[in-house]
This record gives sequence, C-alpha cells and structure tokens, in this order.
Amino acid sequence: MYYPTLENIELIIKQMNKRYNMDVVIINKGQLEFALEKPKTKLFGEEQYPELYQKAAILMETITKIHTLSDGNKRTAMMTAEFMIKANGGELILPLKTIRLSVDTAMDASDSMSELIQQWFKVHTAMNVHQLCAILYEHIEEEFIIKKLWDDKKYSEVESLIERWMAFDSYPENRKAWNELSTQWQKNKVSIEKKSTKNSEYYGWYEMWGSIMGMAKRDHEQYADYFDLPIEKITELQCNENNMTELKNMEKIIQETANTYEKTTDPEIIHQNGMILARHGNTLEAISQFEKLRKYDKDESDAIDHIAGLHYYQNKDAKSALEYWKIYEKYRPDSLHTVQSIGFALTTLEQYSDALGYLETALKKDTKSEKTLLFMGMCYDGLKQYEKAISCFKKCISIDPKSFQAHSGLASAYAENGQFAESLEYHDKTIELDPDNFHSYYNKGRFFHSYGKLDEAIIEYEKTLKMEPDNLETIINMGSALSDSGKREDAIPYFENALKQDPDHPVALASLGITLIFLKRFDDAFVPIERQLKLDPTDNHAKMSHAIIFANTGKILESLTILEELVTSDPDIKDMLRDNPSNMFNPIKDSERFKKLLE
Amino acid sequence: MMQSKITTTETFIQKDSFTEKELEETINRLLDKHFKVYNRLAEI
Repeated sequence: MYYPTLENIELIIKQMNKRYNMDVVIINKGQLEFALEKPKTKLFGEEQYPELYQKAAILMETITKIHTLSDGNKRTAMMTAEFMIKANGGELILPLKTIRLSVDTAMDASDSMSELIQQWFKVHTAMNVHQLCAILYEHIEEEFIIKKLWDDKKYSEVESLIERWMAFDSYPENRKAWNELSTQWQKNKVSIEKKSTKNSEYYGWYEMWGSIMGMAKRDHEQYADYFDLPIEKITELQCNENNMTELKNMEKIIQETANTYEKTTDPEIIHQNGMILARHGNTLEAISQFEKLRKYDKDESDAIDHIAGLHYYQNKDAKSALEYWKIYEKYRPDSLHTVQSIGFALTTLEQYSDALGYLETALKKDTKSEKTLLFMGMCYDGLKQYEKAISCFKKCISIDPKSFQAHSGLASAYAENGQFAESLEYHDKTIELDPDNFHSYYNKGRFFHSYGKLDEAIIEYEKTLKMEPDNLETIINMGSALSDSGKREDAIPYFENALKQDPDHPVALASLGITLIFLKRFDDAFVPIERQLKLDPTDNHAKMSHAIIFANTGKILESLTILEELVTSDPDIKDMLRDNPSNMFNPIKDSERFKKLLE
Repeated sequence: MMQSKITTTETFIQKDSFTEKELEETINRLLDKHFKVYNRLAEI
C-alpha cells in the first residue's frame, strides 16, 4: 500500500499554486502529518481502515476538515485522495457532482462523511478495463442528462441539477453568475465558444458548460491513453450538441470495447490487457489473461513467464511460480532469466541445495549479478555454511554497496558463525543504510538477545516498537527479554498485549505462564498454561508448568502424576527436577514419590 | 497504442515511491483529467 507523504502534498500544493495562480501555504505541518497518519490507524492490532477506499476517504475527510492550508483545502484533500488511489493502481473517475461531495464534507460537523465518501470512491474507481467501461458509461449518462433536459428546454430542471451538483446553495454568489449566463444563453443562443473568447470572466463557466455539452471527448482520449485501450473509435466520436445519438453510440462503443477484451483471440491485445491488469495490481485477472494468451500465442513461453512472475512477486506464491518456471525452462533452458528465476523460487521454498545448482549456473552466465549472489548467500546461510554465505554477501556488497538485504544477511551469517564483533558492525551498517526500517532494529535486538545481552536487546526492541507498536514478534521478544532479565512485572503487559492480537500464540501463552510462575502468581498462571495445553496436549513444557502450578497450589498428587509421566517420556527432565529452579518444587521435594523420580 | 512486449518479470514489481518528476506528471495528469471538478473547487 502506498501512502501519500508530506513531501507529496507539498508538491501537490506547488502544482496547484502554479496552475491556479495562487499562493497556498501550509499553516500547521504537524496537523497535516496527523492527517496523513490517519489511514494507517490500528486499533488493538487491527487496521481501522483496511481497504484502499476507506483509507482514501478518511484522508480526504481529515484534510478537508482540519483546514490547515491557507486556501484550497477541499481541492488538495480531493487530489491527495485521488493520488493515493492512483498510486495504488486505481483510476478514480470524478463526475461533476464530486463538488457537492467535497463541499458537504467541508460543512459536515458530525464526522459521519467518511462512510459516504468511501462508497463514492468505491463506485467511481476502476481497477481494470471492464470496471472502467462500466463507470464511464454511468458517468457519461449522468452528464448527458443535462444536455437532454436542455434540449427539451426544461431549464428549471437543468438549473436544479446544476444547483445540487455545483453546491450553489452553499455558494449563492456563484448561482447568480450562473443565472445570468444561462439567461443570456437562452435568449441569445450565443455560441458558447464565442462567448468564452469574448468575455474571459465566463471562462470557468464556459469550461464547465462546454464539458457538459461536449462531454467526454477529452476525457476519453485520456482514459484511452491511460489504459492503453484500443478504442480509437471513442476518440473518433464527435460530440454533436444537436442530437442525442452520441449517447447510444457511446454505449455501443463501450460495449464493443468490453466485448473486444472478452472475445478477442488476438495475442497482442490479450498480452496488452494482461500487462495493464498486472500494472494495476489486478493479479488474478492478469494471470487469467496470460493463461488465455497461452492458448492463442504462437509461443506460449512469454505468457508462462509472466504468470510465474506474478505468482512470485505479487502473490508471494513461490510454489506456483516454480511450477510455471519449470515449464518455461523447457522453452528457454539456457537463458539467464530461467536459471535465475528458478534459483530464486527454490531459495524462497528453502530447497537450498537445488537452488544453488541453478544459481551457480546463473552466476557463470553473469558473474556480476548482485541478485544471484544475494540468493546464493541466503542458500548457504540456510545450509549453515556460514563462511560461504559471508563470502557471497560480501561479493554482493562489492557490486551493490547499498544492498540492504546483503548487509542484513551478512550480519545474520556472522552472528550464526559466532563472529560477534563483525555481526554487530553489519547490524549497524544495515541501520545506517535504512534508518526507517524497523526490521534492522528488530534484528539487532534478536542478535543481542541470542547472545544473552538482554539490556541491549531491550533498547533495540524499544526502538522497534516505537516504529511498529503492533509488531507481534517484537512484543513477545521484548516481554521475554524483560522477564529473563528479572523485570518480570514489566514483562507481563507485553505478553498480554501479544495475546490480545493472537489469543492462541503458543510462545506468548508459555512465556506469560512461566513469568507468572516466577512471580509465584500460580492461580493467574494456570489460565495461559491450560490454554497452551489445550492447543497442544503433547507440549512437555506446558505439562511441566502445570506440574509446578499444582505443586504450589496444594494439588500435590496431580503434580507428581504429571512429573512421573514426564520423566518416563524425557529422562533429561530429572536434571531439572534436581536443580529445582527458584525452589519451585519445594512443596513436594520431600515426598517419597518425588525422591523416587530422581533415582 | 500498442506497447512492445516486456519479457522480464521485474515489470510487475509495483512502485513504492515517486520521484519528484513522476509525482509532478501524475498530479498534472489528474488535474487535466478532472479539470472541471478541480477548476470549480478552486473557485469556491
């Protein structure tokens, strides 16, 4: 998901200033930043606005209402929302009545607009050509209503529609101008074009009117261009203001376009449509187009490669990608792209030895490919051949000194290889490369954690949580680092927070249970431990925790029965019973059955 | 307008950032596309 940034808005304002000859400034940047954060809001770990339309809607509503620009709040808000939809692969089509929506939003004091805006955006956004055809048709029909009413001389109906769409009730001074103009038009039947050149103050009105009359010629050229539609026919359409046949023509042409896509067997068009859908993030439909292309193209290999790529890069489905690339391999067995792609997919599937076979071939074909070296490093790391992994990552860095993944891989491989100082150095370099990436701080925290440096780990986890307060793994690790360093009370809220996100998280349940046991809050500990056992009745750690709770809450016989069962299944447990950590077995340690367990 | 075929899978990786020039072009394009709406919003 792409979220607009403050820099984006600053540029939007700059462009608008240029176009409308204005001098809009931001009064309060902090407020604007707050508005930009709003679409990302999470409540108890769940996104409050999970869908693109919801995000765009709350963004538009917030920017409109906080009114933190010296001018142009409504228009900047609308443009920011439209830009967000565009950046995420959608095409928003705004009819004239958008003005009404924008004005209503600015006037609304109830915070109840975002639902309406969200619906509006949803209905007016096309994610593929079929949707675009449908929306354009609606949009055209709506604006032709005006022309039809005008031709029928139903001027008062035209006026009331315009009044509503253009929000004249809120801006009566503009209504006056409209009335004057419409009276003149009616009276003199002056050519609109002439009018606009003669009297520049009517230019805005001319544009509005001209666009209603001439309607969609200009729009269509742009939509056709944007979507690479083969609809030269649409641009041929002459909008003749004297008759209504255009509406019918338009309907026919749009239908023909949709049919062209549906029925075509022309590989060039199918390919093109697949590419458009893929570019707009419509992965499933793109895949179905490329499946179709396999049938009609002389050579199906390109289509297969596209399907594999979509599975791998968009669907994050390496298994399906591999299946397709394996078919692709039959057509292009020797190409660098084939061996590299199969190598990547196998690496993702953790089939490291097989992956290395392909990646080594790829490296022979292109010895300077940093991506091949990166994946080879990941394979050697997975195979625990850390020296080789380190060498691959280093070569990768020598080609691409800013490779975040290679630095991160190197930090991890050094840590696994027991090279503490080197690992720390690369953890720091990773952070230097991308200080805004929370993964780097988390990884550094994990690194300290695994070396038992709990205080340092806690500092890094704190930094991570500042950036990603809901990151589950960090929350749990933070809790466990606190608990292990003796700050057990402090640890509990972290485990509880984690369980709010995932009530069945086994590590969070176990860690909370054990921490409460250490705090001698045995009754409280019973709840998570019992849940843990219910989820996995074979979990020996949970059984041990259960035995400790029973031993300390007077249920001595139950405790001993569990311990006897545990010792039979895992003799190492005896050592733990002998150690008696934190005197947990004190209430039962003198019983004969317990002593027998230690024999 | 037909596009030439692009055969690398890299094409499908979506953009997650915009250069100033790309953003400028995008905004101008959107302003052109919806000139009726934005012009009117600029007036009120």
